[in-house]
Amino acid sequence: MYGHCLRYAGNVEEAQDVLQDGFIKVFEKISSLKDANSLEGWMSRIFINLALSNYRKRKAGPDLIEMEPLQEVLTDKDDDIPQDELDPKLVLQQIQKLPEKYRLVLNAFAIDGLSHKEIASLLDTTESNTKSILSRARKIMRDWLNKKDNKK
Amino acid sequence: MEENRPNIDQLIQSSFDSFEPQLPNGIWNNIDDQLNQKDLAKRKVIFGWSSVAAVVIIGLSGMLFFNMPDNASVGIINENSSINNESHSKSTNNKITQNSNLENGLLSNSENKELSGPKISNSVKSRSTNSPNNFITKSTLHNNKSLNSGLSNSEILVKSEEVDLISELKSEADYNYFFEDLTSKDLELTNTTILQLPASSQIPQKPTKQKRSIWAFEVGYDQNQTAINYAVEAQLSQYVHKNFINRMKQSEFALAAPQLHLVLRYQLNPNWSVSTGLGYSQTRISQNFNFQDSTPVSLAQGNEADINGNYPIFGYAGLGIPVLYSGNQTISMISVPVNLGYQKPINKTWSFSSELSLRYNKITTTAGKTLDYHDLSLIDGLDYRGQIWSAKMSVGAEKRVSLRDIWGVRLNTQGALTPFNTVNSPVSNRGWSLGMSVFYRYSIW
Repeated sequence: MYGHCLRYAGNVEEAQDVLQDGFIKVFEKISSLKDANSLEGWMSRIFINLALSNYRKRKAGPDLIEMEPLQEVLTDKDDDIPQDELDPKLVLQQIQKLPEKYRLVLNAFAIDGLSHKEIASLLDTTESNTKSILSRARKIMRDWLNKKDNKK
Repeated sequence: MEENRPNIDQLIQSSFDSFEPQLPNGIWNNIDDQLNQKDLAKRKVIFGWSSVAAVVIIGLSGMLFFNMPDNASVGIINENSSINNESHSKSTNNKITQNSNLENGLLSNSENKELSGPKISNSVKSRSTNSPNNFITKSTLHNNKSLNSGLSNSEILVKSEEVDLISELKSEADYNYFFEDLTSKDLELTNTTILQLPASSQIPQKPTKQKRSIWAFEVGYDQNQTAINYAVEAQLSQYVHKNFINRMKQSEFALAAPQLHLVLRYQLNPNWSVSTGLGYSQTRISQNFNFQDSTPVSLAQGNEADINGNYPIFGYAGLGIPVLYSGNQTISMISVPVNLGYQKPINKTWSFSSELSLRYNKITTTAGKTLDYHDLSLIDGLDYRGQIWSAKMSVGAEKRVSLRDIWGVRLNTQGALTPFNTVNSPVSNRGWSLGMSVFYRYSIW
């Protein structure tokens, strides 16, 4: 779960806060868990929801400005990216450098498999907005991977 | 899960497959502490609500108790009633007298004129009380199936002894008292005698003069809203620029809602009253700041940390990083108000109504994040005092809808006399709000 928190948070302190709040929520809501086998998924969902709703509350209202879709990034062509195994610490560092909403959407969609509908609802914004943010986040990550690969 | 994800997603996802960072030290202790704190806070809230519930229950019980019909006295009359022929013969010899000023509600023996003798429709029985409950009106009679019909407007039913009493009514006060409960619903018809009054005489209206009740319960609700007015602590004024404070004034407001109270009220005289009880209120503070462009260009000082290690907040003329903040806080309080009220009647039902209130407030819970004004970081909103004093002034009008019930509405202004924030907070607020109060008052005796 700490891995989840580190991915969604901008720094270690924030990640520890989310981890702490998340576990408190887990202990408070544990009685609502019906199937013990799904504990891990249930806990993951709590931490993800907490990270996203923290952002929404902090912004107090829909402040994710509707973005114009970028045609060149919406195509999501990634044939050219290196396919080597990545060091998770480096990826984490790069993810944490992303602007907050980029980081949240990329994590929720690309890694944790939430749908755009779910993400949009948790962030109090529109699906087209989260799609646009995701495309931009992917582009940043792709550029970073290419740059990293060129350095080798 | 959505399918056909691009490779980049899979690549990032797979990089975390075996990623297991080490947990920070002391995390479990922190969680344990926080759970204990939450538990304590929950208990405090339960205690607070229990106190409010207890006061409400006691208040309602009091209202019910004092509003119960006086069955006991009816019972006594019934038990003491017995057939007594001597009494019967005595009562039939009584004469009912009427003053020429009867319609004005005055009786006197000086101008008595004899009326026709009582027409007995029932056996007359003796009784051991002279309560005015023994009078009933025609309308009451007609509502009772056991009654004989055909009574005219000028007929009243009266127990035998009342015939004596009625002739002895000398003053307006006596008269009013005697007729006060004319509509009493619990008369024993078997104990009555029908007296025939002349056509010119009417049963006088029940006096409209209302008796003043001394004690009353009052429940009220306030809804207020205000901007919080910040003042910078003197020793910190060099670190918090006035433009930041001005920005805060523009961007932060507190909403006090709802604010409920239940008080016991004592009427000192027709105009003045005092009351005290319990209240519960919530203050919600909403903060939306952007400090980036809030400082003039000319300011260029304070780039070093102070003795506490905090960097003084000075402007960067819109050239620095943006400092955006928005958040909400809720502060819950249990209050003990002490109120001084002033009322002045405008007409029979409406009165001018005002109140000055001093409150002791115990802050029970705070929730939400706030801004640390030293370094503009986000912190838990905990820098509040445990208890504060506040005051409220209100003016408005109240309407008496019955002898016991009064509704009222007032405009009020209220605010903290002591700051919400702790001593070391860089700013303090003294918010005075404007709002509306509604209340209901029930006189118990």
